[in-house]
Amino acid sequence: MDEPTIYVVDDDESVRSALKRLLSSHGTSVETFSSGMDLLQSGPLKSPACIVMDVRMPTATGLEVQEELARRGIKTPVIFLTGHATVPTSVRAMKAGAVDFLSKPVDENDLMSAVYGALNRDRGAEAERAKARELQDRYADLSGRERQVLHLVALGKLNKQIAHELNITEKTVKAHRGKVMAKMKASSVAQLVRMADKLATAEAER
Amino acid sequence: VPYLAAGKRHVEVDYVPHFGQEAGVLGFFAFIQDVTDRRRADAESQRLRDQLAHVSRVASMGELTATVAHELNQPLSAILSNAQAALRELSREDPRLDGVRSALTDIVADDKRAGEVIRRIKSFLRQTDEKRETADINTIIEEVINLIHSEAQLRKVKIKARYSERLPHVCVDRVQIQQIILNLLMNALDAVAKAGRQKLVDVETELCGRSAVMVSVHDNGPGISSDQVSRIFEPFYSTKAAGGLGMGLAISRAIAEAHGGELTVVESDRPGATLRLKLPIASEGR
Repeated sequence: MDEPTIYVVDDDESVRSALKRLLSSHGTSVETFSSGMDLLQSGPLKSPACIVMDVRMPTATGLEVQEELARRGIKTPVIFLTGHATVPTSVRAMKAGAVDFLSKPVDENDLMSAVYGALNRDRGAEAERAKARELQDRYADLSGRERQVLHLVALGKLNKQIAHELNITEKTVKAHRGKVMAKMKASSVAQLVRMADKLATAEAER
Repeated sequence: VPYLAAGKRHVEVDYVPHFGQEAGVLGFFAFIQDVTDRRRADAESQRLRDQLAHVSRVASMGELTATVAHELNQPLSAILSNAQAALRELSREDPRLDGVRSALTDIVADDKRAGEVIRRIKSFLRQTDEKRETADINTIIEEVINLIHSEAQLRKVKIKARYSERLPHVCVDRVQIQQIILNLLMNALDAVAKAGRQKLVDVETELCGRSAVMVSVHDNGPGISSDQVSRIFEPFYSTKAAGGLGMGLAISRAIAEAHGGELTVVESDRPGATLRLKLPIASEGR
């Protein structure tokens, strides 16, 4: 497992360096940025990672940066730090997918448990993403006919119905099914159906 | 003149010489007037003005609470994190004292920074008797800009100051003049909130003839309509939706006039509003 990275974004230099000192002492690698822009321009973010960001910053607020990250499809978890959290701000942040909303000054224990939570979430998400990529690759391997069969199986159709719909013999359907199961590495029809669902969801998200 | 019963009283005496027929002065006519009550009334109105000014300072400081909280929170945050990092370091088998030392050094600096914020607020809120001293108007303005700099940043307003160098000093009560400037700047910040695009506030100082210095505060907000111009200096007149006290400009003008100066709206073709404070130069010059 790669060493986790924490991105600290705060316009205040002493806060930045203090957070860096504290987070580094917990054995994580820390990168600091004075603005959301700097973070966005720093190149692709590593994983597992999380962002610890002040809400109130002059050029772009933490919430604006969070929106921009989402627009760019960056799913790195965000922990917000704020001097005085108003309810609307925190609601907006949490709805946009913030993991945590901590008030400043933040206690080490609260900060670290939020950070570990966020890193776990990012690891989980990363594993999830890897699985999805794998599934995509397998699907890409299917022939056009095999994909048709997969879709119909996922819809719960029987071999006889599939044969009728595609205008082929039941025996051919069985052969396609076998190949689909093998290529998708599915051990049961139920698992195959779940895979088809995941592919459809990933498709819809894109 | 101490009286037997009524304590001390103030009198003004005019002496008019009485010339004789020939030459020389035979004596004087003395016109004695008891001015105790007038003195008292003057002092009383001065005291009321000071109190009102203080109340209004407290009110305008109230509008800055969020900013002040933020300015104190930042160093406090850094102090906590640094202290906890240092404690962690010390609990290790072989603590690196260098790391502890630099954390402590930062803690000291941040503590001083928080102290400075508090000092600034205290000096602004302190209720003191009026104290006139010769001062540099640019410095007075700079202190106010420091006070609201973070508020302006939060509201995404750019405050640009253009100071004329080597202006003659003015003889003023610092805190009161700062109050006028703060009031003008806060009004400007509110005004530009409605300006969608770039929110700009300009502060400018310059010499005005040989006897006064001028401070202009310009904002690119919606401006002041002609029917408002005559009313904005009236007490309890407020255009702010949030419901200001409506006393800011009235008090500011009273302070300006008590200093022998004036506070006016400048009519110009420039979009937005410009207010101008004029203050007489201290008699001993610079």
